[in-house]
Amino acid sequence: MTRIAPFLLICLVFAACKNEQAPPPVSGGINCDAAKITTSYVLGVVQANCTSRNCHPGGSSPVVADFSTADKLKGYINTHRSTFDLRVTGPQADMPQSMGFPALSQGMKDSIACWIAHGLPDQ
Amino acid sequence: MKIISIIFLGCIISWQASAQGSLDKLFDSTGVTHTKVRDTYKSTRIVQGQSTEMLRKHELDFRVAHRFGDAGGEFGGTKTFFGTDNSTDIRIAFEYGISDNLMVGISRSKGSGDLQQLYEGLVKYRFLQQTTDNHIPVSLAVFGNMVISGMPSNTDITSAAHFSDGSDRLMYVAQALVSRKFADRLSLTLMPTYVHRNHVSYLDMNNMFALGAAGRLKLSKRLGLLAEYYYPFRTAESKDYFKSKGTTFYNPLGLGLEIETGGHVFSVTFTNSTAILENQFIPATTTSWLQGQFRWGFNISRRFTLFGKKDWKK
Repeated sequence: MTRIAPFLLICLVFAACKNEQAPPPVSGGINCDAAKITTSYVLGVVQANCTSRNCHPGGSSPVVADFSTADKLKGYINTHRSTFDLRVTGPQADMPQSMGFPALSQGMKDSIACWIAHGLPDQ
Repeated sequence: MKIISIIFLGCIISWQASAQGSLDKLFDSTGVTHTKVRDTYKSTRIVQGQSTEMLRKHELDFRVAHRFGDAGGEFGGTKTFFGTDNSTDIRIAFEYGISDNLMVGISRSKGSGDLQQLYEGLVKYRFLQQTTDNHIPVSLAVFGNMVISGMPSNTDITSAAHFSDGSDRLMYVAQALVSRKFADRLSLTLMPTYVHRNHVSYLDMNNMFALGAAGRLKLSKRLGLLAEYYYPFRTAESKDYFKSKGTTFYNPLGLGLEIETGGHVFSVTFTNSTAILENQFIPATTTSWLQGQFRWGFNISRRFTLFGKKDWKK
């Protein structure tokens, strides 16, 4: 058995191996030129996926990225735009960190990116 | 992938052949005893990657590794006590020496990057051990691991973390380790590495080669200064695509202090990489030393001898 087990392990490694690439990100059907994304929509997404999980509330870590109000969220994006793009709306986005929670859908990411591109409009 | 299997196969065949004597005896046609070089490094890991050091037969190594948040930049400084308020990755592992030249292990880490909640199985085999008379001038080992993510599948099909089946969760590393200890103070290691990830995001690379180099400068009997660097060979097309999306990849560079305190080896590390496992920090480091995105961390190793030291070779 001790001689067979390693070979079974190799078979498992072979069988499980593949090369797959995810499809390219698409716009998610959002036409950013025509779309009307408002602060209240984005704040709703942030409250449902970020601040509701005891993260980004301000007062505790991370202190800088406090998204507890619309003004604070917009303030952060205005001062840390590249970080927000990288970690929230970019292809390597790692927020919200998993910890058992689902990531943002591409549609949500596109909507947030569109809102930022339009200058964070309230209406 | 074939490379990983060949290395695994090599490990297994060599293990099976161990009854016929150690491979390094093939170098010995004279019958003269050659003293082996010990303690090229104090631990089985250097800063982040593996060393050619092995656990001894029946030795169990309990390891904890931790990487904190950015020490500098916008997330560092005094407000997070230089990153100490955050953790980017944590790994807990049990590793075991089957013989003086073969070790296996299992680990769980948080993961940092696309995939999180990582379970790892690893094997490392040392083919050759350097001797003091240069009969064997270097130590040579191979390392392989297989990692599976336990995180929930992302609903976004463009994400690397969208798993259409279980095999999408798998990543592998195969690595050769070539070390030499120069005199008593300096040790150097070359680490050609192959990383395979079954499922990656668009224009990321399933298969990636990297060349690592590491070294230790011994400062005293119990203290050593460590450095480790990897150059991943990412294609220009992939780099350009990610750059156009706002993501820049950086080469992992780690510095450390290796401190031996009896049965413990304690390493203090400073790295730009957020992840601990080779499967992630080699292909996907997006944090830069120059932007303050480095972090301190530590590796703690505590070894236990399970069945006495009677099996240890002198």
